[in-house]
Amino acid sequence: MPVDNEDQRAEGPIEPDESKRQPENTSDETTASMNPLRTESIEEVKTASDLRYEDIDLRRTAEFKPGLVSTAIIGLALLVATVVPVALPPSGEASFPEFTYLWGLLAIVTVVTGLGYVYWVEKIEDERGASEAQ
Amino acid sequence: MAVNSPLQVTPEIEGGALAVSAVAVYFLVVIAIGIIFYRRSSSSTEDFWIAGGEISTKVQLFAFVAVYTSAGSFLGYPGFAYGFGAPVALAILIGATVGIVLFAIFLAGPIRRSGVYTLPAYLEMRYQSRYVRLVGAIIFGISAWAYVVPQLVAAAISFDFLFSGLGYAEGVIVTALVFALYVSLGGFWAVTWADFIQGIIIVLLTLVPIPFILLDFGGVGTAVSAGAEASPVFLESALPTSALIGAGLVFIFSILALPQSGQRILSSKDDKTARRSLVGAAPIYCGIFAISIFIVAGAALSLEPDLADPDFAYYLVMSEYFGPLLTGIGVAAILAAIMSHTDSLLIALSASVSHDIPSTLQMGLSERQEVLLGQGAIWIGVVTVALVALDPPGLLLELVTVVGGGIACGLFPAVGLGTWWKRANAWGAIAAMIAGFGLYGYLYFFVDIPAFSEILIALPLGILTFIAVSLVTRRPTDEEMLGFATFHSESIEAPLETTSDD
Repeated sequence: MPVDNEDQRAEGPIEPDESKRQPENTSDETTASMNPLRTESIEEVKTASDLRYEDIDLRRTAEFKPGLVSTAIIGLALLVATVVPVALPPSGEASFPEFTYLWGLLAIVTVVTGLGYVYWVEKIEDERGASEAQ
Repeated sequence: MAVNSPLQVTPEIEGGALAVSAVAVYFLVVIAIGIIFYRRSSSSTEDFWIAGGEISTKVQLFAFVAVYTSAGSFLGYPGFAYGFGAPVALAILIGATVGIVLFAIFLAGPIRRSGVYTLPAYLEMRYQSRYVRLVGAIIFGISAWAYVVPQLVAAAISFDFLFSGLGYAEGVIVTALVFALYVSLGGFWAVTWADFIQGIIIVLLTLVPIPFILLDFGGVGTAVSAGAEASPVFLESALPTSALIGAGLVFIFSILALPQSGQRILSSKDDKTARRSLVGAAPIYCGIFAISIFIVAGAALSLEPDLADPDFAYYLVMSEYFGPLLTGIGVAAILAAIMSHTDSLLIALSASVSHDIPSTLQMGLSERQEVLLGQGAIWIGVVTVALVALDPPGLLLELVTVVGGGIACGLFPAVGLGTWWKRANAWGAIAAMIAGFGLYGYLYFFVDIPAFSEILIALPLGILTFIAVSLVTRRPTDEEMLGFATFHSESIEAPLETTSDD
């Protein structure tokens, strides 16, 4: 597993490299940290011996709910854009076929949803940052 | 390379000293960028592979536009619309746009938080297995190499048009040399700043023909109608609906696994920068090329419905409306699109060969050795690609789509799904990569099915393989979840003993 110690940190960013890894039965003093030269948005990682599979719950992340909602919206738009052109008979006299209109709508829905996602995630992150500061 | 039939037209663009000078200046600028950043990029592997991870949103925004714009975009979108109908090109364009936004949602944050230098290293961190990294590095390396071929072809076509004294082969050689020079010298620092400048050029030059066309035709509707009158398929499609949907899906899922996407994300200042710049780049990319699909292709069809190669459509418009200086700048823009896509690919290829594979084989290379090996890999990659580009197969956007499909089928399950499904394990990842990539290749080369439909079979199979093998093999251990917990650092309720990040 990726590990770090003070010597490695002095040399530079940490790589998840087998040759630098500690033995499997890591001591409690050994901490795992991803690239200590990167920015403040990276949280420190707890010791390997303290982490449990069951403790990991993605629902706690700031990205979970915005990601779920955004993906659902884009997924629905994509489903409509792929199913409807196949299900409908070919257009008669229209100058643009249904496929073009539906995929144009898909593009608009996607871009707007993406912007909404970024706004939502950052709002949650800012609120959490503010409550932690208090 | 299309052979000119006497019954088909090849546009002649106005070259001359001004046009050649514009291109020469552009080449000198990118090589100068490589030289400027040589010392900094050679100082560490972090600088060489990911520009120190310090790139801001403003730079990254245009860099992403440039990364996602290739010859397949600049020439291929209007070319596909010209040859197969606007809906076909639109499906690919919008597929790519959806892919970019989904990449921002699913992967930008976790990848950036990983702290690694390459996507194969990300895979190792996620699955805690160097074998996953090795298989990933091989697929990335092959895909990145193959992806460069159509880019070099497009560059050589541009040379063929512009420089009367030089031909296609000379174009391949000169462009390959420029690529190799600035990427090997300046690493990802040079790539980033070149991409930033190229992104701005691309946006401007995609839009420059538009006022000329609209003035000539009298408006958007007239230009589009003129194209429809010249070609019955322009507003319909020469391909079945399943092919359009398949082509769109190829780009949705291949964007999610593109090697250069990962490198660009890893170079961002933080995860906020990565998300914002991706979501900001998507509408710019989609908007400018949607305009190109309808207006440039429509005008090209009206001007000349019998081009020798549909990929000549943009050149035809240039030859009709641009003077020599603007022609040179237009060709420089095409080369900018090509280079911005290729330089990141070359870094990804180089990283696979000199960083990921040696690491998994535990060769114990020093940082200096890695950088040198990486520079060598860039040159070898470019030379071998140039040899293939001298006699390439297929239409540009077709080549790009085919390679993109392979990447999607091979890597999306392990990278995309594995980032968010904690039950996924190394066996599932390896099985999915081999099954997806292998089946896609088999279908493409040996089975006769509608164009771009291979992904409709290979990708679901890759996903099913990923899920099934992960479920029938053991659950990841607590230690094996360390990478996953790092990507989703808020997913653990109460951080325990932590380490200072400075």
